Amino acid sequence: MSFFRNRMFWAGMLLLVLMIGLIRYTATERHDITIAEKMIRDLYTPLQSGVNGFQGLIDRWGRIIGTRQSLVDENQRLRSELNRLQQERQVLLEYRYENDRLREMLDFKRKNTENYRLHPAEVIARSPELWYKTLTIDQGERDGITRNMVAITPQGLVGRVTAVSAHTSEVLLISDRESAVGVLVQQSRTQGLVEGLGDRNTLKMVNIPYDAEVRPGQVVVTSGLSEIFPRGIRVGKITRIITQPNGLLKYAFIQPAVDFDKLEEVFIVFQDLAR
Amino acid sequence: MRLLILCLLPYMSIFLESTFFARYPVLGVGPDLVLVFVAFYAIIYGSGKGAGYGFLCGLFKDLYLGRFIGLNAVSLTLTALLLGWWEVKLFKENVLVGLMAGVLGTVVNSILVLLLMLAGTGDPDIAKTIFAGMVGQTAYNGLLSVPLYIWYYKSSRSGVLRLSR
Repeated sequence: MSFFRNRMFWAGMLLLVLMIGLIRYTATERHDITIAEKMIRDLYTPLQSGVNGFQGLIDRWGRIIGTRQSLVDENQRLRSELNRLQQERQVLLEYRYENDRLREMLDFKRKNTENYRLHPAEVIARSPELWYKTLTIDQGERDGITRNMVAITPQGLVGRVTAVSAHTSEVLLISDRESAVGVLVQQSRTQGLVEGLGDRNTLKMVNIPYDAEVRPGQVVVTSGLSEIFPRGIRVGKITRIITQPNGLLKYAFIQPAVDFDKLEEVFIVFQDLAR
Repeated sequence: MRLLILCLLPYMSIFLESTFFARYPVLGVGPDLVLVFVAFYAIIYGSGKGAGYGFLCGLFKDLYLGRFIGLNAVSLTLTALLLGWWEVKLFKENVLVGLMAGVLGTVVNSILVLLLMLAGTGDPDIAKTIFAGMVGQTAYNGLLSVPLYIWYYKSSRSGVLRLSR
């Protein structure tokens, strides 16, 4: 047994020396690997390729999911940014339009300083009824507004004040059926009366003599003959002329100078200085 | 079947070390499952059989790695010889035996590898590298040793690794 142990010991020692020699021999880069090494490496190739492919697939999906998530986040962020900017833009556009209107009104006021003393007012409400064409403005008795004061814009005549409270006033539009305005055709100086039809796009000029030289496209302005409306305010433009069956008079349809649906600010004429 | 499993264990160990565990290192190093299984084998079956199994597994790994051939063969042989000495003295059912085999085996093997490298290459800088990796690998091997030993021990007593009488 002792002999056997000795043999094993020496065999082990021999193996150890051989192995150290082999380690030293294979420590540096060799020109080629042995068949045994090639076989062992080939044993792993399919498995490792499969795992690498699988891991590559997982990595790709991970990247896709990660990329998708970041895109979703970015998309959400950009959407909220877009919403915010759209709202801001909307507000700025409102300011711009308001600025344009106010600039136009200011310009109009400056030009008409000699004729009228104008008091600005903001439209705060409209009549909800189809047959009753009125506006409510934010200026009332305490601001000096009285009944029958005229409301105008740089575009033309709007109406007259029919009711006044402390802080608001009601303006009856010239398109209302109850409204009547003394007018004349600017070019031919033909006089007449403009009535409302209850239609926001059309007024009717009546009492036009059969021989009056009126034509579509001519401008109609206030005549100043009535007690209420000062003269020279643009009312609208003739669109159509019809001779009445009796042949003595004609009437004309007028397109209002003012778009009543889009009114936001008006001037109240305080005093007709020209009169 | 037992022989097939014993052959497949180092094969699959190297495969897992080079793929799955390479992605999840501890302190920069992966586990040495071949060493763990050789340590288990030595603890359960003794130094003689352990040394033989360690030599074959080590040589297999060396041939796979293609450099310093004989390094793992010798280090695993000697590690198995040392661990195998406790074979008769241990209460092998205890899971701590597996933990001890993994941890102690890693430390012993690292020292042997260092000595063999110094003998084989004469490069003293190798010590730094080996000791730097030893801590992480000891922790990793110790961690994996516990569940692996439970399976290994059961298999060696009543499963696929049981010795036929």
